[in-house]
Amino acid sequence: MLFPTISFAVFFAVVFPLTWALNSRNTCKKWFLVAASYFFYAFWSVGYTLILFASSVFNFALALALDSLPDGGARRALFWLAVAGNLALLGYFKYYNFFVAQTMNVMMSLGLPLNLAFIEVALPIAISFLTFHALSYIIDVYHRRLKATRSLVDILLYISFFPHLIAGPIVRAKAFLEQTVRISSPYDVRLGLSVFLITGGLFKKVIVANYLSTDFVDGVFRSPGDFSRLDLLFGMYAYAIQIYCDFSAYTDIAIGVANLLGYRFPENFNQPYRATGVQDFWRRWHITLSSWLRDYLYIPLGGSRGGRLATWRNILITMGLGGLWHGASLNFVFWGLLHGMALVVERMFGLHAPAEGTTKPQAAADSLPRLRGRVGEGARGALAWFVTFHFVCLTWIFFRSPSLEATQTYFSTLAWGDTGWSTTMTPLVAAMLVIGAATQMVPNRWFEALEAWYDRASLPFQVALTFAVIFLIVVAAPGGVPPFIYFQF
Amino acid sequence: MSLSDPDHIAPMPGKAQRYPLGAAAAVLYGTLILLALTVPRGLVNWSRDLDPGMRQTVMLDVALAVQSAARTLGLDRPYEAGRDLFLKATGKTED
Repeated sequence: MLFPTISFAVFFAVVFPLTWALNSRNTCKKWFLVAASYFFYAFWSVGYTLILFASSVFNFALALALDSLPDGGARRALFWLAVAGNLALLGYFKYYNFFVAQTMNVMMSLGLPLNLAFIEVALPIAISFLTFHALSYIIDVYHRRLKATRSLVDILLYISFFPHLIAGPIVRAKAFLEQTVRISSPYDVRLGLSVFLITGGLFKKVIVANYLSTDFVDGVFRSPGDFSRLDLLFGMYAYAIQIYCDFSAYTDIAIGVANLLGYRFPENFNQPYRATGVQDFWRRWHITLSSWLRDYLYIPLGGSRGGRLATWRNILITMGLGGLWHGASLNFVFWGLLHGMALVVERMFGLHAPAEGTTKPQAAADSLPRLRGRVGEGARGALAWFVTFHFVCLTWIFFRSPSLEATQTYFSTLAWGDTGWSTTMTPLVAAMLVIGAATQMVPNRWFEALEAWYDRASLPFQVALTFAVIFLIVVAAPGGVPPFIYFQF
Repeated sequence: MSLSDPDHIAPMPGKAQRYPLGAAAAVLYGTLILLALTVPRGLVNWSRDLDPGMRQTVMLDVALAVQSAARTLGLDRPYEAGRDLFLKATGKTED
């Protein structure tokens, strides 16, 4: 059940009133939301709801045991058992065939052919996000940052809650469980914000991402050798806009839907293509993943505490694994490592943002010592943005191409191809590119002003405006809505 | 706005409504009803795609009744006209 479908609209039209009708009986409400979430998940596969349930019970039980044990070897062993259990689930479904193929390739290149069996099993949708949520809970309980809950329904709901279940945002256990123990207040519902997130998400996915994908990007990446160099250049930009509009649409709708049910999710995107450094980019792109990787992988590896070489190693491991998380393919590993290398280069030359949590676009540019005093502030910022944006776009080619060979073809045709400089891009695609780019340029305060204006408007006007926006989206929508890109992860 | 500490969710911006649930329900159901009346063919196509059975029969009957009423009242004309205009402007065809 995809968000931009009539099925989801009908589903939500039933879930919304029942959730609030049960609000004063919090436990009943949570069981109802668990049932609704399992129903939502069962649209893809009824069988895999058992995985969802088993994973939740496994983590619930082990967290309780971790909480009750004193610090020591037994507790540590139990913790690693819990981590291994979660990673084994992910590894079996998502990476088993990949590692088998890589092992056979390596052995073959060593002249020792090996024949290992592949498994034929469909990847359960959302398994990566499920694992992230479960690990967040287990690790926080182990480090005693969070008390293990004695309420099974809270964990069932935390892991399966339908707005974030399939593709995030990754909500920390602590942030979510704090919301499950209290009765939601109707005043937590920010109607203007939810409406803007949902309608904006529908527009980005149904119109911008879909037309860019079907009318241009898919073809260009399917056979890059058949397209002109200009097409490949625009194809790269178009994919950058497409993946942003696709993924941010999902999480925007998720945040809006959760808020209408009285729950709050963290922000996941903050105009990432305005970044003026790779570190800045990762503070704006899939924020909940990058902060998860920072807190649960990079810092436990030692972070920046062990000297320069250890810091660089930790960055590369974190980004390499972050890349692999996106898919069982060397393309994703290279994509992650390239970003890791860029982060290392930024650190080597002092180009990274100086303080954790700094997100000002100028942060990286301000530390460009060589350029300081030679060119103006605006030019430095523009150069940092230009380099960062094109680095990110070029690495998207690894991310989108189906194989390393296809990536190589794309790059070689783009750089040296004799396919000319004409373009097959239609006016509709060009318009989508411009609109997609505009989403990065509009100041956040404009959205906040619009939201406040919507909240102050009369109810009939609110209904009319919401209807008018969705009506226009439906008028211009393609015949069907393909799944969100991040569903495969 | 970025979230440097994901354990802490910053307050959402915006102004609380006086009757937030009533307003949210009015916007949700008002929008869905208006869409069903102005784009009735969406509801009909969706009903046709449901698994065959009692539920589909009922839904399809309801959707066809809504479509018939919408056509009689001319409520679907803006959508049909807008859709034709969009298809002509972009050179696209209905899938």
